[in-house]
Order: sequence, then structure tokens, then C-alpha cells
Amino acid sequence: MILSLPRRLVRLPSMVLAGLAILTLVALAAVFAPWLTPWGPEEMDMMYFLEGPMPGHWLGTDANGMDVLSRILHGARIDLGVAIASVAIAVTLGTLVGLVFGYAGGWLDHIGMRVLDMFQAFPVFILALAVAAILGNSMINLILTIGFINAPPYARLIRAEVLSLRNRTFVEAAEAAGNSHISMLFRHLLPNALTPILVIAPLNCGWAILMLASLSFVGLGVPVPGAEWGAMISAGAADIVGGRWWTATFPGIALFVTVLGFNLVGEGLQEKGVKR
Amino acid sequence: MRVAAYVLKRLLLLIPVLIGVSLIAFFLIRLLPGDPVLLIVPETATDADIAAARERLGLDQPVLRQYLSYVGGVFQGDFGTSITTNRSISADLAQRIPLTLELLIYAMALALVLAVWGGVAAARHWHKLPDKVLRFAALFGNSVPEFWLGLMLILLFYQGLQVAPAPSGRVDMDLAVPMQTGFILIDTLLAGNGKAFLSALHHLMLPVATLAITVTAPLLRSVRASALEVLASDNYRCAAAHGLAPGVLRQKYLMRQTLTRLPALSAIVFGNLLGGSVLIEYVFSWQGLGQWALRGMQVRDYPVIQAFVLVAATTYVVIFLLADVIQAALDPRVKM
Repeated sequence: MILSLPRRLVRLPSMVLAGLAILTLVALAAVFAPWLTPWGPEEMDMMYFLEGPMPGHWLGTDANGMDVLSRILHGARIDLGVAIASVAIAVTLGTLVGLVFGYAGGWLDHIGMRVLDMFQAFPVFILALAVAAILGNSMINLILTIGFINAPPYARLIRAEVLSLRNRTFVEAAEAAGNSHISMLFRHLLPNALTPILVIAPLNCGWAILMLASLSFVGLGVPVPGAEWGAMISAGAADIVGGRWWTATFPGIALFVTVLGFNLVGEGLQEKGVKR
Repeated sequence: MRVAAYVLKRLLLLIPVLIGVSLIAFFLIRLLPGDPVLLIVPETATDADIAAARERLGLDQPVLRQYLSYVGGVFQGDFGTSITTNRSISADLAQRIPLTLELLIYAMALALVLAVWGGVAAARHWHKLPDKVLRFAALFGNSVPEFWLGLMLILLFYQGLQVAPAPSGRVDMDLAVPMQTGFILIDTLLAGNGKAFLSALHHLMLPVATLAITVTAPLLRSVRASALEVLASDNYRCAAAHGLAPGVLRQKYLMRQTLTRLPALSAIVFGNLLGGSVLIEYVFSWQGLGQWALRGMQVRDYPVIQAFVLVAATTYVVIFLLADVIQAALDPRVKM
């Protein structure tokens, strides 16, 4: 298993490999941020306010004299952490709901799907804005909001898989052998229904980061002076018209590259799936 | 006749969806923790003040009655009053919807043109340079945060090259024209003011471009995929083998068949556009629906949030209906 890993990696499309390389770098930045940066994420250098890139502050400082590079590296912790946590919630919740609806069928499935339809009538980001505004912006609330909002597509996906699996002989055999409902759901149906999720989840992580950053950008996400990329761009937006471009530009590049990493992995896997 | 019956059927099916949407919009605020009245009254309010506010807002009534009276009001065009500005929400909506609609329509139109042209071009040059360039562009558009892209365009074209106007307002200050339709390009034309028209175009340039870039990406990918499918299909290859003129082949076969899938995806993308417009209005200080809703959200003005969510969802649902009708009209195979 472990020995075959390198060979498996080589067989992945180059897009996926490029995406994985980017994400590895971002993850390393997140883990080692405190040791990589001379400044704390909210530490102020009283000598330099809004100074451009220079030795000691390689990406400049913001209006509070905080080091932009240090904040970007620390920001990877928040952005990556929230994205992965919220997608984990979305996958778990969506999978459970989809499994139960698909397996139970009947009125439960019918009513459940209509409720999901209702939620799908709302543009995703607008629902996120409204829920974030009402719940308030603690980190836990943000993770829950983004997680819940991204759950319905997983429920749909898993339900569709379960419905198509139900007619397969091995499922019928397992049922005839007297497996309990729980064992049917988790030992026989779930493992076989999971594959499409592996493709969607990376793309979803990219969306989740964009959603978090967008919420922070308009003041409904991570509050200032938290080192989150969207919040940093928001604070830096005012500097742009004065020509001080570095406070908004660099966190945006970090955000873009990270989302690109997730999209490369997701789209690469999708293409691989299509070819098969 | 067939189309009319189909539209009628779909309109009837819309009713339960809209009831569901209004229920969610209404209960979203009430299901969540916290008493909405406490968001409204000042922190120094006494119990008597709170009770008075509750009565004034009708929150002492049973929830079902509150819902029915809210929906009844909405049917008469009454969305209630903002609790922070005390302005009528309907009046605010009427004033701001055209500004947002203008951005959305131009961005969508631009994105559709770019996506169809680019997607078909990419498919015809499959795995060659144009295809690679366009796929890279789509990957970029799918990954770039739109609000940051807007800021970068301001940095480049306003701050740097100085070819774009400052990111605020719809026309230059000295060129104001009387508002009749609320759509600035139409109003400047009605006023016969050519200079104001050009200025309005100038101000629309960057926000529309930003929105269009981010929604072109998913559309482009889908057009490319369906064009590739058409190119590989038996009926297209048969038509090509019979030696039809390249123009006919392109217009009547490739384009026609590729476009049948576009409406459904455009509707989904329109939802992204609606959400994205909130961010873009914020970046460009565009005083549309998004900015209005955002302010309401930042101060938790819950009738405003409720109205915005309701309007956005209704628009989205109606756009979906429209897309299905267009699809049915384009593709005779669709069962109506």
C-alpha cells in the first residue's frame, strides 16, 4: 500500500499533481507559520505604517504597522482550517441525509427532497450572507454556516448513488442475508457511494475558502484585525486609491493560488473520471 | 399554443416553490437563536420598551398570523419598513433594483457572448493552442476571487493607467440626468445627453467586466464540453461527410446543438452573478440592491434581510423558469 503510493502519484494527471504541490506549500505555510515569520499576525511595528515592500517587511506593512507576509502565512491557518472543517461538515451531513433518504425512499425521501429543492431556490452566497449576518461572526458560526450551506449537493449526490446501487445484486444479496439497516447503510451502501464525493470535495474546498473570504471582505466573516485573507483584502481596499497596492494585492494572490490549487485537483480528478 | 400551455403549467408549479421560499425567508430569522426584538431596541431599553416594540412590529401575534400578514403585505407590494432607517422597503427596492439589474444584464450578456464564442473556438481547436489558452483562462476565472479582481482592475485602470473613472457613481458628477426608467444607459439616451451616455458606459466598464470574467469561466467550460460532444456525434459527422458548406455546418449544426444546453447552465450561473453583485457593488460603491442589503445585514436590519432574500430567491426561481422555457423552445425534443 505505502510502497505503491509513488507509482499511484505518477499516474495522476499533471493538473492534480500541480494542485497537490500548491496545496502542500500552503499547508506547510499554515503549519509552520509561527516559525517562518519574524512577526506575529497581529504584532505592530511602530516604525513602519503602510510602508511598501522592503527588507524586514518583504511584502510591506499595513495601516496598523502589521507585517503583510506574516499575516498571509498565518492567514493560511484560518482559511485552510475553516474550508476543510466546513467541507467536512457538509460531506458528513450531506452523506447521512442522502443515505437515509435514498435508502428509506417513500414519503420521507419525497418530503426531504422537496425541502432540499426549496433551499436550492436561494443563490448560495446570498443565503450565506443572510445566515452569517443573523448568526453573527464567531469562527464556529462561520464554519457551521458554510458547512450547512454546502451540504445539499452532497445529499443529492449520495441519494442518487444509493438509488442506483439499490438494484445491484450485491445489495440485494446483503439484504437477503439479513443485514441490519445500520449495516446495510454503512457497510454496504456508503463505501460504494463515496467515489463521486472525492471529486467534488476538493472543488468544494475552493468554494468554501472563497465564501469565507467574501464574507470577511464585506465585514460578515472574520472580524478585523484577524489575519484572514478576505479581511486583509477588505482592509487594504481603501489603500488602493492612494496607490498603496501591497496591502490588498498580496493576500489576494495567496487566496487565488490556494483556490487554484483546489480547482486543479478537483478538475484534474474530474477529467480522469470522464476518461475512464 | 404548446409553449403557452407549458408556461402555464410551470407557473402553477412555481406556486408551491414560492410558498416554500417565503417560509424559509420568514422563518430563517425566527428559527435562529436570539429574539429579533432585542436586535431592534437599544441596549438601554426597559422591559416596557421591549414589549412596546414587540407590539408595534406585530411580534406579539402568533407566528402563523405574522407570516400570513407578511405574505399578504408582500402581495400588495408592501415589504414592511426598515427598522434602522424607517424607510419603506418597497420604495428602496424600486429605487435600487434597476441599478443592480443593469449590472447583471450587461455582465450576463457579455459573458454569454464570450463563452459561446470561446467555447466553440476551443472545441474546434481541441488540444491545440487556442483550446489550451481558453482552458487556462477558464481555470483562472473559476479561481480568482471576484472582489479582489475588481480591486486589481481599479488598481490597474484607474490608479495606474488612469483610463477608468474613480470607482463611485454611475456618471461623472457634472453630468447628472433625470431618472425615468432607473436604467442609466436608457435615461441618458432619453435625455438626449450623449456625453452622459458615454460617461455612464465608462463607469459601467469595470464592474461589468469584473462580473463577466468570473461568470464566463463556468459557461465557457460547459459550451466547450457540449460543442465537443456535438462534433463527435453521428449526426454532425454525417452532415460533415456529406460536404455541407462550412458556414451551414457551423451555424445550423454545431451552434444550434451546442446552444440547447446553455439556458439551464446560464440560470445556475445567474445565481452566482446575483451573489457576486453584492461584492462588486461594494467594491465599486454601486448604490444598488446589493449595497442596500449589505448595510441591512451589517446592522441586522431583519426586514431588509428578509426582503432581500425573498427578492433574490424569487428572481432566481423565475430565471430558472425562463431558462426552461427557452430550452424547450430551442430543443424540440424537450417534453412540454
